Amino acid sequence: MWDTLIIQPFTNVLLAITMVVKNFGVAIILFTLLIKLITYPLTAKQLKQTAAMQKLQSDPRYKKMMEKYRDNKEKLAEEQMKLYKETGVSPFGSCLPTLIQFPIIIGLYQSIIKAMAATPLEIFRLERLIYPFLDANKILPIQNRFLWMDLGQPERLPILGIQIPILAIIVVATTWLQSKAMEPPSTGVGDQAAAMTKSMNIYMPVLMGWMAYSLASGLALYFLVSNIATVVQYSAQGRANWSRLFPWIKTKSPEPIPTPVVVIPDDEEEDEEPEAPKPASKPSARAAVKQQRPQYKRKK
Amino acid sequence: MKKPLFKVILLFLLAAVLLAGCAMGPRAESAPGLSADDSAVYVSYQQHLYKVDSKIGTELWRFPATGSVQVVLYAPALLNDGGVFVGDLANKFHKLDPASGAEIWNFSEGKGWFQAKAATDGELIVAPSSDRSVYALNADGSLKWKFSGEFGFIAEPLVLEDAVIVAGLDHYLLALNKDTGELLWKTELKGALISAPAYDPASASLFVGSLGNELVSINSVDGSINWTFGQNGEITAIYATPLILEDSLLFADESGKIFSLKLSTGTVDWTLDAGGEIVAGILPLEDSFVIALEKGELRAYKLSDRSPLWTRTLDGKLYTTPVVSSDKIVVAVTKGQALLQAYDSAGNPVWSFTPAR
Repeated sequence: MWDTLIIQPFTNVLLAITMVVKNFGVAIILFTLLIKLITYPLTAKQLKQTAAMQKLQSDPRYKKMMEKYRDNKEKLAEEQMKLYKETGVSPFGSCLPTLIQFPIIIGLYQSIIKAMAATPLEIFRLERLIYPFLDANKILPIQNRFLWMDLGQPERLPILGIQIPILAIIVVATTWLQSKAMEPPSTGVGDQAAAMTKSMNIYMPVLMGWMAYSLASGLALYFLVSNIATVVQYSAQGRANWSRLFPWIKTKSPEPIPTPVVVIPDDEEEDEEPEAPKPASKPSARAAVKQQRPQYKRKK
Repeated sequence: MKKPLFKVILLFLLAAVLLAGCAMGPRAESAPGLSADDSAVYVSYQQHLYKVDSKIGTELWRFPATGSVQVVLYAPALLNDGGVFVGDLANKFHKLDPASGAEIWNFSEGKGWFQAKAATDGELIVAPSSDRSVYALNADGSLKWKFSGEFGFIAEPLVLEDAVIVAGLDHYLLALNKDTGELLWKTELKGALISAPAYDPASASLFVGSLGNELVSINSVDGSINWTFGQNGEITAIYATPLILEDSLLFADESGKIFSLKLSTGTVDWTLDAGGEIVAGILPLEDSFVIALEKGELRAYKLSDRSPLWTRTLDGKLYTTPVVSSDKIVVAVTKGQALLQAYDSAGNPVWSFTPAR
C-alpha cells in the first residue's frame, strides 16, 4: 500500500526527471524542489498557525491565566481551550499540515534511497518499481556522478590530501541556519519551549551533519536542498528572523498575524482583561506592542 | 558583531570534528554471498563472513571476529589455495587464513564497495568495485593494475588465459589484458550486466544475460556476437550466470521461466515455468538441478525430463544461488529465521545455521 501509493510514484517521477535532465544529482535537486512546491500550501498554513499560537502565548492574558491556574491543571486546560476558542486559534492547527507532509517527506527520502540502487538486490527491487511506460533498460544504471561526488557513496573532497566532508559541513551550516531562522521568539524567562528550541538548534545540525557524513551523498544533497528550500519558504512568508542570525543586519519584524477580536463578557472582566501596558518611552515601540495584542470589545 | 561569527565558526569546526569520529555504516541491502569447498560453506552477510562446517552446520570462524556497523560484507568469498578472498562495503579487500579466519593482508586503495566475488587464475586476483574500477592484485595484495570505467562493477569477473572478462552495469562486456589491464574489446548489450558470464573453452564463447531481456553468446577473442536470444520478447531480465551443461545452456529469467538452449546456435531445447520470480542461478546436481525462487521455494527437477522431484518452502526470500558441500545442498536465506539451510539430495532438511549474536 505504502509502496504503491507513495514510493512507486515518487521513484518513477524521480527517474523520469533523471531521464530528462540526464543527471541524477540535478534530478534530486529538482525533485526535492518540486515536492517542496507541492507541499507549500501546507507549509504556509502550518507557519501561519504556529505564528498565531506563538502570538497568543505571548499575550498578557494567556500569561496571567498560566500564573493563576498554575496549580490547577484541569482548570488551566479548560481556560486554555476557552481562550483558543475565543481567539479562533486551533492548538492542533500546526500539527495537521505537518502530519500530512510527514509521509510525503518520508516518501521523498525513501524514493531517493530506492533510486540509488547499488546492489543486485536493490536493482532487482528498483526494476520492479519502475512503471512499464518508463524503459528500465534506458534508466538503469543511474549515473551517480554529480560534481565531485559519487551520489551512492558518502561525500569527501580531497584537499591537499585530506578528505574533507564539504557537503556534511554545508548541511550542518544550513540546518543551523534553518533552525535559527525558524526559532520562535521567547515568551519570557523560564520559557521551556525556547530552551528546548535552543538545544535543538545545536543537536539538529550535528545530527543532520552526522547523517550527511555517513550516508550516501545523494541523501546529503537532498538534506541540503531541503534546508535551503525551507529557509526560502520561511522568508517568502515573512517569518524568517534574520536579525537573530545576523544581529548587525536590521530586518523588519516578522509579518504580523491578523489580530483576533475577542469579546469579553462583563462578568469575566476582572479575570480576563489584560494588564494595562506600561508607558513606553518610545511611541513607536508602544505602537508595536499595541499592534500585536488582541483587541477587546466590551459586550453590550 | 564579531562574537556571533566566532560562535558560528566554532560550531562548524566542532561539527566537523564530531562528524569525523562517528560514522554510520554503509546503507545497503543485499543478499547473502555464498561459496563452498568440499567441507565448508562461506557466507557473507551483514557484519561478518562465516565459515560453517557443511557436515553439521556449526560455525568454524567468523571474520571480523568482532562485528562493526561500519564493516558490512555481502560478496561471496573466493576460495583459493592458501587463502579466502573477500571484499567488504567499507572499501577493503581482504585475504584470510582459511583455517582461522585471521587476516593475512588487506587492500585498501579502493574507494567503493567490493560487493562482487573476486576471480583468480591462481596468481592474479581480480576484484571489481563499485568505485567504477577493477583492481588486479598480486599474490601479496599489492596492486598490479587498475581499470577504470564509467559505472560500478558488481559482477564476478572471469579470468581467462590472456584476458580478464568484466561485466559492467553500463551494458558493456569488457575484455582486459590480463597483464596490463588495457581494454582489448568491449561489446554493448541492451541492459545492465549484473552477473558473470559463463565460458565454454571448446568454442571460446562467453554467454551472458542482461537486464535488457536477452542472453548473448560472444566470441571471447574479439568480442563479436555469435547469437542473441530474446530478441522476440521470449525472456525477461536475467540476474544470474547461465549454466553450461555439455552442449546446453541453462538459465532462468526474472519471470520464473527456465530455458535450455543449444550452446552453438542459441535455439531452444526446452522451457519450464518454475512458478515464481527468479534471481538466483541454477545449481546442477548429478542427474537433476535445483532452482531457488525469490518467494522462498527451493525446487528440484529431473534433468532428463524436467519432472519435479521435490519442493521445499523456506521462511524468507531466496536471491542467492545454492551451493553443494559435503553432499549437502546449502541455500542462503534473506530475512529468514535461519541464514543457511542444508538439505540432502532428496530434499530432506539436514541442518540450519543461524549466527550466534
